[in-house]
Amino acid sequence: MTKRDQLGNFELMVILVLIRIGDKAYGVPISEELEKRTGRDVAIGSVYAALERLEDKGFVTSELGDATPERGGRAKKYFHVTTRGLKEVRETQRALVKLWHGLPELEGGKA
Amino acid sequence: MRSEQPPCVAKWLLRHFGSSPNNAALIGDLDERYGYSRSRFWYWRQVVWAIVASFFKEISGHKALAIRALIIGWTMKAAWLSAFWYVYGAPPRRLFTAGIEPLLFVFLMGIIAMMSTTWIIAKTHPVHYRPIVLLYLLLELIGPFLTFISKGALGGYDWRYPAILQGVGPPLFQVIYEIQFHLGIFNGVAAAWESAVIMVVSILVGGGFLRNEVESNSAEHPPATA
Repeated sequence: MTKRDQLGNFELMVILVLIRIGDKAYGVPISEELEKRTGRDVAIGSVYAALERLEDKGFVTSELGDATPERGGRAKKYFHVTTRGLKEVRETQRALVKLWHGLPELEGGKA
Repeated sequence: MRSEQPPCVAKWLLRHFGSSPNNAALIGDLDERYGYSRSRFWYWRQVVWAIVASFFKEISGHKALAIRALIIGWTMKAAWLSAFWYVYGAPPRRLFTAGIEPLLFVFLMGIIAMMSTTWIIAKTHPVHYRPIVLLYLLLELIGPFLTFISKGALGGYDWRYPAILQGVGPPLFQVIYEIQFHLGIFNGVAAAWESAVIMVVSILVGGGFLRNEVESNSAEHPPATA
């Protein structure tokens, strides 16, 4: 796997939120969920930049949804995690857990 | 009291300067979230960040195209400048003594040159024209400052005297300064601002930024009836 195919920190957060939301994942719920889970304000522009990178890597697919009046007549774009994306998340999780294991500084929530 | 409608200037900026292939969906998301009692400041902040993030994402994802576009742009610019200098002489030689008419002609031709350069860049990169033309614009704005500093550092410029008298500065700036000189105005700062504004507008118009087009991605649907 090339470096370009690996998940960045923010990309990993976005893809985890996509898995959590499921079929109804578009810009608004994704950014709201990210804000709720991380406790930080999230720029929708950054979320789209991450989603486009994930789509380029083949970890995510997208499809157009309905246009609604509150969106100024613009369609929603729904994003879905691919099988390849899920595999990559699992691999990243495994690698991170291995790195986390046995670090006394990070145990017990003291750090 | 908070307006029901999102800030129209911010929305206009995002429509015309957002480089994301999902720009229409992004604007729709911002409008939807703004409807949930978000502030105008929040909307502006989101717009600025969306423009910056999409610009860097598109440029970093298409470096070869960006380099090719810059080479096309700078080659065209060099050709135009060579033609002007061949006819009128390179600055600070004074064309300039010939009167205001040739200066105005060169000024208009300069605008046409800038517009045609970015028109070609946009036409040769139809999918990614926004970030690429913006990159060209940024480098054209930064370039004169770097030239000025590097010339000074290398001893090619005497800091004690005005830059214009030593032929330092972008060609458009020099032409505008000379036009003002003929009109009895001796203000280098005004000439610098005027040339910067004219350059930005010419490059953006030539690059197709200010036309009222349907948003570039296919997520644009006709407004639904409530």
